[in-house]
Formats: sequence, structure tokens, C-alpha cells
Amino acid sequence: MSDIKKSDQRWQSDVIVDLMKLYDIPYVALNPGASYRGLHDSMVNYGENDPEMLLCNHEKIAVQIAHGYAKASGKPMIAIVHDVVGLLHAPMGVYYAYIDRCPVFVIGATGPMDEKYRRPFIDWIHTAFAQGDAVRNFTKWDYQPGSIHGVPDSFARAYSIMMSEPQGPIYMCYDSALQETPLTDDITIPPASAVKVPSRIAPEQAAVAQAAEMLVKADNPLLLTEYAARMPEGFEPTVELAETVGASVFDVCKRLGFPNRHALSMSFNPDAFAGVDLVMALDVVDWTRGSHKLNTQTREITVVTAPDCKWVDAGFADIEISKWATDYNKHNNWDLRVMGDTAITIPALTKACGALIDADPALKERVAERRKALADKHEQQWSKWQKQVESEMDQRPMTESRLAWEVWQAIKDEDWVLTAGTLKDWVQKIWDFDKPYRHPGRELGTGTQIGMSIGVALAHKGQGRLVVDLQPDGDLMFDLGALWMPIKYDIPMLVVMYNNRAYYNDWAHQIHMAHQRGTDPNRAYIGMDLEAPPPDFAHIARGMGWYAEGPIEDPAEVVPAVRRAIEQVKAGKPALVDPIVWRRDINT
Amino acid sequence: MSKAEKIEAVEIKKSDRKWQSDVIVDMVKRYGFEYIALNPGASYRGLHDSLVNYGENDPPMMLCNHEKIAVQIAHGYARASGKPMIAIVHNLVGLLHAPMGIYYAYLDRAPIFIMGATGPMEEPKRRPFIDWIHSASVQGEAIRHYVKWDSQPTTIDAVPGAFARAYAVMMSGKQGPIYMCYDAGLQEAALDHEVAMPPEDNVHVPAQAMADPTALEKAADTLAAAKRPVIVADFAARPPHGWDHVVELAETLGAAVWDCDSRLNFPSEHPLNLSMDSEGCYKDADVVLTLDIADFEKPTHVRDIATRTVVSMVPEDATWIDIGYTDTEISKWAMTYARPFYAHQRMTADPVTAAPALTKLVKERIAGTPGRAEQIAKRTEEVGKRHAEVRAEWLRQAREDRWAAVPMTVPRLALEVWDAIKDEDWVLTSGTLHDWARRLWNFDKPYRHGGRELGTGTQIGISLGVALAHRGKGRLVVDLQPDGDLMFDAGSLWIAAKYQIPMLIVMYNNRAYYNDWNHQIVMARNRGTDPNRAHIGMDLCGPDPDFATMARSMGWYGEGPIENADDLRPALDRAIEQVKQGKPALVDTVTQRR
Repeated sequence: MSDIKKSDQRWQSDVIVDLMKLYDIPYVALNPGASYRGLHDSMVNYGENDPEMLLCNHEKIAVQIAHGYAKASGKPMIAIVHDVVGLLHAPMGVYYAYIDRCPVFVIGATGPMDEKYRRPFIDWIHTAFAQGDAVRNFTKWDYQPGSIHGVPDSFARAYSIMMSEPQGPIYMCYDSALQETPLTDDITIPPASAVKVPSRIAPEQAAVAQAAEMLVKADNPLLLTEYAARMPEGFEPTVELAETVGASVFDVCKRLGFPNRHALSMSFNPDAFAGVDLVMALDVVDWTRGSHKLNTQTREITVVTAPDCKWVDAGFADIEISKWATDYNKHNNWDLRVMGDTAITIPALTKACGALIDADPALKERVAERRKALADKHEQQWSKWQKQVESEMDQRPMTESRLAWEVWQAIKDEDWVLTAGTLKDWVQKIWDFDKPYRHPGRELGTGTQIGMSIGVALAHKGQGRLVVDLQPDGDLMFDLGALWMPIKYDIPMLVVMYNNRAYYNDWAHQIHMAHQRGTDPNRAYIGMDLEAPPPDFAHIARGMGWYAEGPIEDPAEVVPAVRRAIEQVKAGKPALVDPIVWRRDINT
Repeated sequence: MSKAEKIEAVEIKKSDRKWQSDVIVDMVKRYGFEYIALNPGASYRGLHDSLVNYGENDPPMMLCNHEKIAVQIAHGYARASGKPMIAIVHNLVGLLHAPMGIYYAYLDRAPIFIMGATGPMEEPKRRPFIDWIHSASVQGEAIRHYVKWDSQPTTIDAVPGAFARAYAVMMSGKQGPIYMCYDAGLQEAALDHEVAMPPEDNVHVPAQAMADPTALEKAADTLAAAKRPVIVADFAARPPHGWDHVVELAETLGAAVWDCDSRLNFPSEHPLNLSMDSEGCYKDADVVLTLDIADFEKPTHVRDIATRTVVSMVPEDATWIDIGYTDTEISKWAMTYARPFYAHQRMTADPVTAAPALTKLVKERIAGTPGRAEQIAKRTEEVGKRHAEVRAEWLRQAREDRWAAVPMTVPRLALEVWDAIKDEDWVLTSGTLHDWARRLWNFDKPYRHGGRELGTGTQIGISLGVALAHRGKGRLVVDLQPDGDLMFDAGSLWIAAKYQIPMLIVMYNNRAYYNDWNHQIVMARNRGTDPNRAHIGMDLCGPDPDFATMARSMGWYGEGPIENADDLRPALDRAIEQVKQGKPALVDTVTQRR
């Protein structure tokens, strides 16, 4: 790299590169644009392409790769998006990173603010007052430095904000003229010793003590976990708390919060909340999950906890809630809110509960009994699921459960990672999620999975792990071009399609509507099906250099095909297998 | 599809009562919309059911694989037909896929009736979690900076009025997209009373703005006395109005015409057309008449890409007259208004109405001034001579400059495609191969071109919309499709196969985001770094996406990659044959990098 030709002077955009290096950014995902051509040159030549650039075929994908990477590793990447018209491709990606609390350092650029230097027309339509307004409602902070002197400070502030919990994306916009001006002033970047991120928020001790009292007194406590286990920590401490208290655990699966085969796991158990008299929420936004049952047709909700159930919150309460989207969820009238980072609160609770239990032999016995009863409940449910899988084996096209089972046969002896979607939760009912890195969290909305999955695969690259993406067809059709990236940048991964040849979630909604209104459910496919022609995903993937097989209709062919694909992935090549699955409701 | 749906319609099972979302369908029918592009979402499941069953899927739904594409199909359709379509996007998370599409439609003045949904706003009706992360106060804020208007009716009784207002706003003046957001609870509630609809005979769109008569007289005086007038046109001629009013004004004046090509304003082989020849067009110009232009600077200046400086080609003492929508409804956020324009006269008016009036006034003055008609005939001839010389030179350049290069040159690609399509009733959707199609092809009818390309990530969607607008008219719709652009939205190829929209895609494939690569070469020269490293983060090589394979996997006929132009013609002929049989076809041609 030493023979890279350097400019004989320094440029203002070099300072941004100095900061990227100071903050040890691992990768920069981008879609190019002339508004940051100054920065681009500085990164390639002054910075010697370290951190490495990853060219993405869409700005949203650049953001989502960083999203997936952060989920899987806990580390932030940079995503660069061109001025107004690049930024406006990215809002969906930025919004999902925001609600999923993922740090992404989004860099943008804008047409020279000095009007004299604006190229006719194009620089005007690519400039706004202020550009950050387009994403301000779903970023933690945005800023556009007014001069090169504002660059180091705002970078440091943005990084600190982004990495402070609850984490999320920031947007930093650089004037193209600022980037392209020779550097003449002496600019000080922060010293390496300066604090990059403030320490965590600790809970109030009295509140922890009160929560511990309530937990040990409860007859049937349940730990509800959503963001408590964040890479690289939080998984084991939750296990320890659950075992200490003898509490059942329900994992919302935004991150892998708890081992699904642990005897105390009640995740997805339809009776998980039956009789529960205390719910302890561990960094939870989606607090109604599991306990509030919905009638999707009428939108009526039934609560299944014990009527006098106590609700305790340990998390970030309403810190920095959105002023625009209502992603803070329905309000809950908590009995106690312990505001603080669960990374501190959970061990403190375990210690406090442990002390109370140790001091009370009757309590100790109750905990032991409860653990045993819960273990039985867990096993019963697990075997029920296995029976259900068996009972659905002959269904054609194959069910989600059958596909989950087949893929598991092929991968269970590998050091596997699942990127996102879980085949309508069937994966958690069949696979063994025994390590914290197995799963960075369940799928988000349509149009998010392929981008995040590539980011997850990037985070695990070179660690000898088999990264598996159970990829919905509708989702992939939003972002087909993204398949090019794993080939370009040698990111091995296995995509197994979850292909029902439809936007089926929405199709099912139209069936509900038809039932409610008395119209014909057979017309629910209109504007929903991905048939005639069915996209041939294996063919598409091969068109971008992947190894690919399918479509596969016979479930018996799944394991051999997946095994052949795994061989390719192990040799470093991304591979796709395209099994066709049934459509719930219609095929039954 | 619409035919098949209508045959089926007799047996459609109806609900035994009415639902509030039916009222939206009544309005959709009342306003005569022809298509609805959408990506589905549960937030409008009520409306979806009403459209399919109460409305009998007429206008027919077209499923798109991305919300931005739904918007862009409507954009292309409006560009080509002058008529608006509906695009429906799911609540917040559907809407946030669409901003790029909406911004470009706003910038390009394309009317699109965008429907969204939210909520329910009534909190007890919200499903746990999902309805919360899918609601905002207020959702329209996400795109308010680049729509003409947005609204979210609170009650069903407000739905018809908001719809009618949105339609009028969208179609008036500088046209553009509107956003109408419907509460999921509102849609799904049973309709328990009659909702007042607008009367059958009410006006949908106000009459267009006309120029102040006194100002118009003054402009006619100036123009009739001009020695070397030039017309610069951008949005002046647009479907469904055609270009006769521009042609007639230019011929009356003997004015050279510069077409900015946001829409096709002027025949490319008309002797008065000096577009893309700034030296010839503005030489000795003493009056410049601009007709509804978004920006005066780009068409009249030349620029230096490295130093960001510009030089005007118009003589300093020229008189500028502007007819258009001036600064009405300019953006308060994006600087889409470009550099301030110091004209001697500005008239807020639509050239569609103002140009014929101006022509009439100018004709009167010419007739009343002895010798003027002869002067005009003389300069018409001079401009025509220049036009012929410039066109001949372009053709010479295309034929002589590296004709046999492999991969092929861009001008050669333009010529090969022209030879294959010139005897067809063709339409070019958008991109023009860096103006080479404009230089070499004969754009002899107003519908030949939907208007110039916009930014990267817009062309395939807009092209599908243009092809939809021309479907069933026996025309060959051609998209000269850049590779980088298609990689943003490859899934949209499926739509053409699904809804049988015949079109021919000829790839403009330089295996790169080359416009940006080129910028890095400029940077390298400025800074003294190595131009050979400019490809980093820019090239689309290793692997080379195989567009023909991708197209075939989504039901298209596909050929390529073709690097040698000598192999191109037979492939084009085979593809055209397929298109004529109703099947979309793609030919992947690999070109030089400039």
C-alpha cells in the first residue's frame, strides 16, 4: 500500500478520514455520489482505503449492512449516502435502525453552501435547508459542520450520542466545498485518550432493592427480555437472574436474550403468561408481547396474565423517545420503573435476590420447586412442538415447520449463525440457540432482511461460522441487487429462501377482511401474489455469481441441496437454495 | 388484465353492507383513475378489500416490488400521458421506502395521487406494538417538504372534500405529487350513514393561469423587434398538450430553440432546433424567451467540472423574458428553485395558454412592420443552416470516432439502436445515452420521448410507467437503461412480465457507477492522486452482473452481454420481434467508459 500516490498537500476532507481512523471504524458501506467526491478521494488515497469501502447497490442497503453488522458485533460501521437524492433512498433503513436501536454512523453531503460554487441546477436540487430534516425524526442527532473547525467536535459528539444507550443512528452532513478545500488551518483532532462514550446509566439502588423484593415475593414471576442481551453481553447475566429467582423467561427476540432450550424458557409458549403475577421487563419496548392476545380480524385484545399482576420495568424508560413516530408503544401503568442500563441492573438484581433467597430457606425451596415445575412445562411444550412438526411433515407444499426442521438437520453440527427471520417462529421451536451469537434478533419489516443479513455475515466473516439467512421472497424482491455484494466482497453466506410466492402476510390480512365483510377470500390474492411469472431466485442469484439451487418443491430434496450449498459456502462462495413453502390459511 | 377482471366482475361476491373505505373507491372512480400501483400493507387492508370487491378491481391494481417503484411507475405514466395514477404505500414503513420517488416526481412536476394509511389513530384499536411503530404524528411530515399538499381526514365525511382538494392541487399550476393518508380504523369501520359526494358536474381542476395581458403586449413588442431571439423551453410542451404552441411561436419569430428536455418540447430535426449547441444557439442572441423552465443557468451556461465555475453563453446585453410558474409554490426545503433569475420581464402563466396568445400578438406586430417578415425568413434560414451542420457533425463523430471499439462506444450504440427502431412507431422512455440519442434520432412526434433521465435510481421505474401509458397502441417502447440504475431496482423487471407491459430494454452497461467514477478522476487530477484508484467503491465488476440472466429469471426474453457492436443488430431484431408479440425483452450491451 505504500506506493499509493499522495497529494502534495492536505485537503479538508482528510480530517474526516483521520477521525474515522481514530474511532477505529471497521468498514464504510456506501453508494457513490459526487457530493462527497472530496471525502471519497481522501478515503481512497490519503486513508489508503482503510477502513475498507464496500460499494452497495442502494443507499438503504448500505445503512442496513451497517445495521446488521452492529446487531451482530455491537460495533458501528459508517454508511455514506449521497446528498438529498441519496439520503432519500435511505429513510426506511434509517428508521428501522432507529427503532431497533442500532448504532449506524450515517455520513451524507450537500451541495456547496457557498452559492458561488454551486454547479448550475444539479447542486441546487441536491441541497436543502437543512438536509438532516429529512431523517431528523428517526436519528438520535444530526449536524452539518459550518467549517472544518466544527468537524472533529461534531464527529466526537455524534459518536458519543450514537453509542450511548439506547443506541441509534446519527446523521452527519458534510458540505462538498468544505471537503474539497485545501487544508490550511491547523485542526486539532481529539486526543486518543479522550473518552469516546460516557459510562452507563446505573439504576437507583433503592429501586433495585424494591424490585428484588417484588421478584422474590411473586408466586409466578416472568422475565420479559427484549434488548437486555446486546452483543457482546447480557445473555449469561439473564440466565443467572432467571436461575437465581426461578423465574420463567419470555424472549421478545429482538436480540437473542435467552437460550431457547433452557428449562426456564417459555418463549412462544402460548401459556407462558398464564397465572403470571409479576412481569419483570428487561429493557423492553414491546411489553405487550406474549401477554396481550390479538384478534387480527376485529383488533380486540385479551390480556392473559393474572388479574393482579405487577409490572416492573428495568430499562431506559422514556429517555429520548421519538417525537414523531409512536414507536414507544402503548403506555403501561407500571408498578415500578427502575431506570438504568440492564447491563448493570440485572447483575445487581441477581445479587439482591440471591441474598434475600439465601436468607430465607422457605423461599429457597419455593424457588427450587418452581424451577422444576417450569422445566416440566418447558419440556411439555417442546415435545408438543416436535409432535406438531411431525404431523405437518406430509403437507405439500412444505410448511414452515418442515423447512425449519430440514434446514436444522443440515446445519446442526456446524457453528451456525441465523441472520434474522425465523420462519414464523418455527426455528425457535426446533433449533437449539445455545450461544449468544447464534442470532442477532428476529426479522423486522419487509424490505429489511437481505441488507441486515449481509451485515450479519460481514460481522462473522473469517470466524469459521456458517451464516444462514432464511430469506422471504417478497423481501428479497425489494433489493435483488444486494446479492451482488457478497460476491464482490467475498462474504460467504447461505441463503435458504422462505418462498411462498407472495406478499403473504398481507394476503392473509385480506382473507381476514373478506371474512369480516363477507367478500370472497379467493380474491384476496389480487395485488398480493408473486406468481405468473414466479421469480426464479436461483437463476437470479447465479446471474450475480452465486452458487444456487432450486426451486425445490420436494422437502426431501432440501437437506441434500443445503448440504451441497454449505460445501460451496465453506469454500468461500455465497450460495442460495430456493425451497417453495405453503401459504398458511389457504393450504389448510 | 383489466379485461379479464371485468369479465370476472359479474360473479364478484359483495359484502352485504357498506364500509367506510368504499367511499374512497367511489372517489377513485369519480375521478377516472386508470391504474393503481401499490406494494401491499395491512394498514390499508380495508381499502384494499374495497378496491378489489366493492370496486371490482377497476381501476386495476398493479403489484410493485417496492414502494418507490409504485410511485415511479405513476411518475412515468404521468410524464407520458399527462394523466395521474394512484400509488398506494403502506403506513410509515412503506412511506419511508418512497421518498426518493416522491422527491423526483415533485422536482419533475409529475402529478401522482399517493395514498397512504396509518394508525388506527384511535388507540384502543391499535394492535400491540406493530400499529405503534407504524404510526406517527403526523405521518405526512415525512414527505411534506416535497409534496404539493398532504392531508389525513379525521372522519369519513371529510374524505370526499380532501380527495377533491388534493386532486385540484395536484393538477394545477406546477403539477406534482400529493399525499393522502387514511386512518386504518376509518377504513375498516362500517359505513352507517350517507356521505355527501361532490356533485357530478363540479370542476375537478381550475383553469390554467394566463399571462397579464399588458405584460404580454410588452413582451410581444420586445420579441417582434428582436434581431436574434432564442426560446428556451423546459416544461412548456407536455402531454396531453403537444408541442404545436411552441413550434408555432418559434416559427413565427424565426427563433432558435433550446429544448431542456424535461418534456419533449420541440422536434429534434426542426431547422430551428439548436439544442445542445450552445455556441450556435446563443450567438448574437438579443432576446431570450424562457418557457416554464426550472433553471435558467444550465441551458445557457457552460461549466468547468473541476473548478465549479460557469460562463454564460448569452451576450450580456440580451433581454430576458420569462413565462412560466416563476416562484409560485417553490420548495421551502430543497433548493429546487436553482439560482435566482434576473429577467427583464416575468409572467406567471402556463405557456400552454400564454404561448398562443403571444404568437398572435407577435404576428400582428410583424405584419405591421415592413421588412420584418423578410428579416425573420433570413434568420430562419441561417439557424436552419447551423442546425444542419451541427447534426451532420454529430453523425460524423458517431461514425468515425472509434467505430469498431470493443466494448462499443456510446454513440455507436445510439446509432445501432436507431437503425433497428427507426421504421417502428417508437417511444424512448427516458435516458438518452448522454444526449447521443437526441443528437442522432429523429424525434418527430411529441410522444416520442417521456423526457430526459433524472438521477440514478429513477429510470427503470419511470420507464415502466411510460411503457404502461403506451401499452396497446402498437408502439415500440425503448428504455436505454443504465446498469447502475437497474441494480437499485432489479426486482421491478418482474412487473413488466406480470402485467404484460411490452418494452425493449437496451442496457447502457459500463459496469460502473461511472458518473461518480469520473468525478473521482477529476478529484485525482485536482489533488495529484492516482486516477487509476478512482474505480474503488465505483466499479460493478468482479462479478459482472448478468442482466440477461436476471431478466430471463423474471419472465423476460434476454440476450447478452454483447460487447461487439457488430453482433448487436441481429440481437435487437430478435428482441423487437419478442416485444411485438407482447413480451418484454432485454439486450445487455456493454459500452466504453467515457
